[in-house]
Amino acid sequence: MIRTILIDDEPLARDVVKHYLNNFPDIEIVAECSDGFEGIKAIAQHHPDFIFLDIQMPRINGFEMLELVENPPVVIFTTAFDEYAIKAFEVNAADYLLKPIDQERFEQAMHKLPARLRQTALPADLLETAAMSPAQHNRIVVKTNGVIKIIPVAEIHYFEADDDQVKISTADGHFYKNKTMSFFEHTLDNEQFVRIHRSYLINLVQVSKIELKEKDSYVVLLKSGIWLPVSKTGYLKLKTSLGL
Amino acid sequence: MIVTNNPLLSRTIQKSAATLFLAWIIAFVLLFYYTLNFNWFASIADSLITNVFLGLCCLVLSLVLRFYQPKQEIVLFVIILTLVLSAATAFLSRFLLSSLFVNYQSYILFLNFSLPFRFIILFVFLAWCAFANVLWYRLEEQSEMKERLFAAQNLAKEAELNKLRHQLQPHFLFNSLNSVYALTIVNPKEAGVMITKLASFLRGTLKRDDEVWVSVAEEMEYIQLYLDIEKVRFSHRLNLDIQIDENTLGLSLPGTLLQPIVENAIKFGLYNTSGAILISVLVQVENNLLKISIQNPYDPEVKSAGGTGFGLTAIRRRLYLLFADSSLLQTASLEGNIYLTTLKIPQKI
Repeated sequence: MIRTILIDDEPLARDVVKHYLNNFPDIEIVAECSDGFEGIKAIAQHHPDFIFLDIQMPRINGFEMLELVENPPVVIFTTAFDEYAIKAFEVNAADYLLKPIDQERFEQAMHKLPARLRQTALPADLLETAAMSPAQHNRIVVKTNGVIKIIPVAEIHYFEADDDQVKISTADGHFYKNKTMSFFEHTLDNEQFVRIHRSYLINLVQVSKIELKEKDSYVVLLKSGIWLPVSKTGYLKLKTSLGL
Repeated sequence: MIVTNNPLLSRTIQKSAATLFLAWIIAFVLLFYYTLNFNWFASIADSLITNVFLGLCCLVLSLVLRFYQPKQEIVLFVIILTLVLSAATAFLSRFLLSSLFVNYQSYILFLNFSLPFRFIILFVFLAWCAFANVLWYRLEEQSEMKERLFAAQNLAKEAELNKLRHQLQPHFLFNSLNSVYALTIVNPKEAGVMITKLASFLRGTLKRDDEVWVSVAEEMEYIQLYLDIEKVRFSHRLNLDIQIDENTLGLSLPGTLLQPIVENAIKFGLYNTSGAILISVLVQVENNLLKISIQNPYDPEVKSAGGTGFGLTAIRRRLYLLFADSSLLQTASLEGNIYLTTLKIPQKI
């Protein structure tokens, strides 16, 4: 038996997939979810072999949900219209079905499925490409102690490299994300976030003052009262961004 | 005044100008030496000094005309400028040459005798140079204007296309089509109803125009279609409460204002929340104004992540353009995470 979960906020959309799956008796639907949070729970509980995942859903979208799932299963995306997502799919080989889903196309995806299940789950760079979607530019979703938090990008003070993770500092404390510094440097608006140092990416709005520490060595004071070092190239970037 | 490229910044023009300048100097050296029989020294000095001044004057002319070209009396301006420059060149070179060759009697005689001719030649040459420059700048300006016009047209076209794309609401359209498709499987009779509703809604969408006012009855029918379609997609959790005061039915409003507000309420109240929700629309008359109040719940977390609040700025701007009053749209957050949007429309008499 192959086990699957349907994650879509529209019951009728799930009905179509259920109807098509009638022709595939060896695929069992173990759960149906109507948003990303339910999806995360159901995946942790049932460990499905693969999932059908809509992208535009309430609260967190499909991509954000995947980021929060440990060992994500194989994913077949189902989406009606999402320019960014479609672009992401075109770059990568992950399977996706456009709504309304064509039956022949659906069956083709199901026939390819067994081979896909033997491969590793999801191409890691798919999620990186999905960072092109606008939602990813103004919020970051993190999970701490089992609680999911949506951080608006504007509320971030700075990012700090911390081993193979990135520490995100906000007024509400620190959060960790399994990403690289350069990922955030390249996906966030570089007029708002400046990489002042190999280990630091700061929100320009938070800058309170810049001081010369020694010859050629600068430090920056954030509004939260934290001093951060600025490298030579970082100082040049900071100067251009502030229009000095 | 548009600052265009200096003609001398172009490589090919630089090359030909330099070649021309050298050839001109050599031609004069030969003229003085062979035809007028002065010695080499005097021939070279005269040609070099006069022509270097001439070259400098050309540069000055080009620079002046680059930054300043009077709209009127340009011919007079150029002629006066040229006259001054040629007189200066003629006298300055005569002064230098006569102090260099004080003892060269026949040359000094020639120098004094040729002064008016030199002046005339300088003037003609500089005038030609000046008008060539004016022409160059004019052409440059024209092609730049053309380019800008072209870019502006492109932008306008793109904006138009984006507007059309937005009007069609592809996300809504494709999702609705998907729901219709699902209905053909689970409830074929309902599918037919949904298709006709979708068709009427799309027809209404294509008719919308800022200029055209529609009656409340017509507009609410359109909104009802939109909400009915959403109701089919989210029947399990969307509840609607629509109340239209009888005496508003004859009033009217611009056909492009209400739908985006309702769409916004759906976006934040329905798409961005989970669980059962209620969206209510209340249409009344108040102090001769048509007043439409829309309430939708919202997820406070998602809202703060959205940044700009509820994205109604575009509608507020349109209201300002239509009525010169942006206070006609009011929003408020009520207790229990309910968002209230109130739209007031002054009535045409």
